[in-house]
Amino acid sequence: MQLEPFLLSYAGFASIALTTQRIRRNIAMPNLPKIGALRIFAAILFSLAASRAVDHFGAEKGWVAFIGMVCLSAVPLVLMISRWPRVGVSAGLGAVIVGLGAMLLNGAG
Amino acid sequence: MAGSLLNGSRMAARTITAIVGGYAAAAGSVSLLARVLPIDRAEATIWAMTLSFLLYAAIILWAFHEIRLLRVAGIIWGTAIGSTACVLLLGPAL
Amino acid sequence: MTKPQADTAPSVRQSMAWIHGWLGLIAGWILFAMFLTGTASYFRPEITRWMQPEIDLAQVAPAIAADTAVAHLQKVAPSAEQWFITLPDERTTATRIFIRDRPDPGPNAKPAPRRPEMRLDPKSGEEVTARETRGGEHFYRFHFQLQIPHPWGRWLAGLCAMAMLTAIISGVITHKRIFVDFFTLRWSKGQRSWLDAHNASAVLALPFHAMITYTGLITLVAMYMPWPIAANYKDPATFETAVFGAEPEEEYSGRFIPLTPVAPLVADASREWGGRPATMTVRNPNDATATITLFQSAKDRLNARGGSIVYSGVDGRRLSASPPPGPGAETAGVMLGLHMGNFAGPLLRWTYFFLGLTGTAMVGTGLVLWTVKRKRPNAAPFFGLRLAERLNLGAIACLPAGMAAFLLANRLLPASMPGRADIEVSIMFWTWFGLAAVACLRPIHRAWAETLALAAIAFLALPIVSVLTTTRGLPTSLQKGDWLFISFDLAMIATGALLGFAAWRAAQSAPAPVRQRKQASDAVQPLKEAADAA
Repeated sequence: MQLEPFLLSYAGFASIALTTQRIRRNIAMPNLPKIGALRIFAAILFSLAASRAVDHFGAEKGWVAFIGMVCLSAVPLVLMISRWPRVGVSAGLGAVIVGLGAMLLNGAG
Repeated sequence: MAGSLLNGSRMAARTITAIVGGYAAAAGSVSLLARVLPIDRAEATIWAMTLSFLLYAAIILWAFHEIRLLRVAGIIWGTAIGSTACVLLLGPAL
Repeated sequence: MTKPQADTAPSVRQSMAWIHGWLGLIAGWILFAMFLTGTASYFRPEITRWMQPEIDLAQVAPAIAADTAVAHLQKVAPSAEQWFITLPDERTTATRIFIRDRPDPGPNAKPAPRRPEMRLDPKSGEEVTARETRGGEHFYRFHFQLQIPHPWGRWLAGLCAMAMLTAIISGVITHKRIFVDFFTLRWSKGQRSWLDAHNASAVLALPFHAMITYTGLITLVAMYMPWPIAANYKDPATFETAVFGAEPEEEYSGRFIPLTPVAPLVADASREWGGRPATMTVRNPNDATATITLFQSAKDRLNARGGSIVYSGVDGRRLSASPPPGPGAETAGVMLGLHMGNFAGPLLRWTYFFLGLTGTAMVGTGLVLWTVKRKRPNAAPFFGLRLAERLNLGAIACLPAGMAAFLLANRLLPASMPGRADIEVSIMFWTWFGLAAVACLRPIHRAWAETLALAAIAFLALPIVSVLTTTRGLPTSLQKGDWLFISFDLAMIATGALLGFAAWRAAQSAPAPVRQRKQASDAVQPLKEAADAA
């Protein structure tokens, strides 16, 4: 699925958003992961997004696709966080599941 | 820049120096660069053209940042005239 | 953007904020239009196809299209000086041909009259006719020529692009906490909200904004900055030959030799490139000196400047090819390719499109921010501020309405009307500027709501008018799975809905006497979406 880099970077940004105190306070969800863990998780998600983009689009176009989708994926996240922060961040979890799921399916097939 | 805000003619001089003089300085500098870079002529030309806008933008920003108008005008117009003169003296390579 | 004090030297950040604000404002209205129409241009062939619903062609392989085009040209202009053939692909389904006639020999002969471009069905080689329209080409041309006579439009566009570049650099320097503010977007907080929206749209897509601005300047670098060529070469043609390869220049001999079949050449070039040719020129067809040049398509790679191969038109021998690009030429070609995005498939194209809208939103929110920032609650706005407010309205709300009017005119003007292509264009500008002028009669906060609502209605009307005036309305295209028309109509509905939302937000702020001004500024809040919408 070509959208994987987009979904994975959305999730990556959602993790970064969760590292900021203001957003942690705003969504007030219990059992949030530690900030350090979230940072590492975000870094992993972005690297996965890059590797998926290169896989799908080839080395040349892959980097363009990766940077483009990273830029774009933050837009819906910021819009969501501005209105419905919990939904916006939780959608990140969904994006991880769909993105990683598609990745694993691809790897298997 | 701040003092000249109150002074229309100084602001006009600065703006013209930044936009027109900045263009001339950027064009002259990259032309000289294209002429003297010790690589293939076509490649040197393309690199100079490609980088020109970055130089132009930097000159414009500096022209509005530096408060001493005389210094701005001197350096920008000086660069424009100096680099263009060098290019003309050297003449086309091919 | 506080004005630095007169007696102290400003810090870099202060002076950068100052220049960011003024350059952004002065170039902003044109930049908004350039961004919006440029963003639409990512769908240039699709817009053209939607605007000529009569044309619905099946796709064929490039070699077949080349064959049918040559067969057609052999019938209509066998002894022309040059044929230009643009081969179809999955986005542009018709073959386009252009003929340059041989000028009469003799010293006082006038040049042959210019023939119009023609389009062919790639399968049959028959000419296809449809309603006259500029199509997506209009938005594309406008975004760098601004409908101003050559070369002034391009120079103005270039100046605005330079302003954009300096605004980006100064904006980055000004913005203190570039990554801390990343996720901050507060609604309904007046100036604060506009600043948030401007920061978010600018910072999130910063790589795109910087790339598209710089590469935009590069697309016309030969016009804007030709001086390095003059510094190295006595004759600019020498430079072009060194970079792009030599054009065949053999003189017409007058000795008839039939043109070699072209399909094998298309196959040969495709094999050599590992990609297909996009255009083909035939010089001196059916002559002993005939040559056929194939140019590589930009769809297969980032570098928009593909190579070219010259074949003999007599026996199909490979005569020469363009030199392999050096690192500089490759870089410039990739910059060009990044700007135009021709390499992008559907998903990347939509990515480009939405990033373009982010850029449009950045310019739009920046413009509004400039005025909101200068409003004082208990003072009448000064003349410059009122002017800026009206120009903002004219650019941000009235241009989308004008674009919708252009598309509506395409559906409502009779298909066979003479000169309709130009009338469509005029309708766009009359609507755009007319609406901006009429809106001046209304108080500013009402004017925002009303013009945005009009634009929304115009976009929502498009799919309805399409059903009534063509055979490819939404119900039919849904039935047939005609994805181009489905997506186009849905995009118009989405745009209309977004503009409607913006209008609703603008109208919501009922003007109470005391808080009037504050709320008027709140009213224009959702313009970011308005910008997004179009």
